[in-house]
Amino acid sequence: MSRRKLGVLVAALLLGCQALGGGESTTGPTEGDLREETLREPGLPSDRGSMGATEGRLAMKPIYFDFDDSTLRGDAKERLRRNAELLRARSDTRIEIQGHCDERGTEEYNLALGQRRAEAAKRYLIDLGVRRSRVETKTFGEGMPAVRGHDETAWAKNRRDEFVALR
Amino acid sequence: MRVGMAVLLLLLATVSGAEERLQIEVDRPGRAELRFAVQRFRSGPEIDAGFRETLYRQLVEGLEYSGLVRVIDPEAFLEPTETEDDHRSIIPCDNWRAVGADGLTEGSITSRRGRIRVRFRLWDVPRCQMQGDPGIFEAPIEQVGWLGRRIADELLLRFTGRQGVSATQVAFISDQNGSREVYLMEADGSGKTLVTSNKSINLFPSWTPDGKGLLYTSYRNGSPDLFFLSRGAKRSKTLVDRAQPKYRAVYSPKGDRIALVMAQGANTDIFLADRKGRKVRPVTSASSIDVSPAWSPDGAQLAFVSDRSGSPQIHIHDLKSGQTRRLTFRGNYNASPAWSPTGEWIVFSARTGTNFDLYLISPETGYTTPLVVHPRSDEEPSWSPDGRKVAFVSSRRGDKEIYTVDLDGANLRRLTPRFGNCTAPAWSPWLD
Repeated sequence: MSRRKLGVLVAALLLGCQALGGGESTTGPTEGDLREETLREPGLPSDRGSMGATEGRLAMKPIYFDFDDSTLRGDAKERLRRNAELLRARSDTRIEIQGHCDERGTEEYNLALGQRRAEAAKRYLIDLGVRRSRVETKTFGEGMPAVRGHDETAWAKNRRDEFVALR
Repeated sequence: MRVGMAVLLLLLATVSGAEERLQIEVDRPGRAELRFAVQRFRSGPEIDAGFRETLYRQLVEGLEYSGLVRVIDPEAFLEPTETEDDHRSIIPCDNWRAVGADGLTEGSITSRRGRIRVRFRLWDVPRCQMQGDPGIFEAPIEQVGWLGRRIADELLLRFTGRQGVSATQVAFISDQNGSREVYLMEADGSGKTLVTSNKSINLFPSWTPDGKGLLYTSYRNGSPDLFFLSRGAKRSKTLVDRAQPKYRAVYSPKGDRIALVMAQGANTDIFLADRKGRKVRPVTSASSIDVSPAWSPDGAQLAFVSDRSGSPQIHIHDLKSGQTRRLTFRGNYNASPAWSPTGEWIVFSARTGTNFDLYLISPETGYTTPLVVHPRSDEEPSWSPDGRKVAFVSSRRGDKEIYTVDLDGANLRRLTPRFGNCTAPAWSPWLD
């Protein structure tokens, strides 16, 4: 590198320093904290299992799944048929199907799996004649277990879809 | 503590010729091979003794944090424990060799208008020569601890060719407040601060490559969506203007693109967007679950998890050719890939029985070697920017807690004791 080029480089370096810090020992960049102010948005729900939905009383029971699976089992289909009847009787009600997973597996994969479970139930309800516009889906992954515990008894109860009325 | 907003000035005192540098093999470091002598830096009466002690202590901790350096007890010194003159051109190397020092650090501290300024030098004792030019770093005086760690990281750069990471941070999720919020902490687990307070579910923080912002996922508006928060901002911004649920977003190493995970009906795929979250286009479009995109350091490839083969496995997608290949074949649940900054490894979690362990796999050859194996689960690995450490989640003590470990499995540190369930660690880039 020639002396001249070196000089330019050093000058550029010093300029860069000044742009950043105003020189050798001054103010410094005005970067702030990574911190968001507290949010108090109206209507932001904090109820477990009902976030984003206004929970209503609905006699629709959850359905359950096998591990890492979104296939509707026989007992799930039977319950979905009953749920479809309940929906026919209350034609003004819209629902949200909330898909959940057990704690095993990664959180992100379980979000996708919970979505798939909710969509599986939605598709079945639509096949039974429920209008598509009456059914929303949401995944909570493994984040909202129905039952605490780290064994198959708990896991089996957590791999589920819940049905929540939207008003 | 605020970190990363200090001005760092590395003044080149002399323009020297080609520097000879002692290079240490660090990819899978052995234990504390380097012994450093650290003198307490000389200072005038304007420097509070407490500040000086904090600088010293944090410098020592920063060096030892690396797992590569052991700091020699000053009691053993034949020379003074405090720097007498940091302008010398020669030091009594025999006396430092006699106490077994590979490196000697000396320096001086001055302060002006609320800022502290440290001039330091590093000596290669066996060769008896200065290692690099004198460094001058400065920061607001209340950040003196961070300055000590930042100097330690610089000394590691000069001695090993790679900057240390003791002055970096880890973003993570904790439920200790009742809701799952984003937090920050120093790389050693100190100084935990809240980032979000929206009382909903927040997930998967990830850094902009310049360390000035975080992407994260939040249920704050009801369903999972992507948000961006930059330093100094009071509010987060939404990132991608699409109604579908979105689970995660990660910036490319250059910061020019974002890989994101979005659901469409029952299907979850990986998409690319520009740096502002616009121009969204699909990368995968299989009827499988495709999640957890992880950029290669050159930004040319994405590792991701797909269950297209019937179980979750890690795949690699080449963005230029559009080709996808499967990387993992052993076991029936391999997830959470993270590409090392050197490009050499992908760390991932593999299920064995009902628990996860961490493994390293070479994306080139598929060679696989265990990193953390424990009867309880170890998950969600994230690389330090120097590629020498991995942060991860372990439930070995019951709650999910964040740990760091060196690549040889040693130097295990517990970062979040008694802080609720902590997940999704995201190690920051270097922050200046």
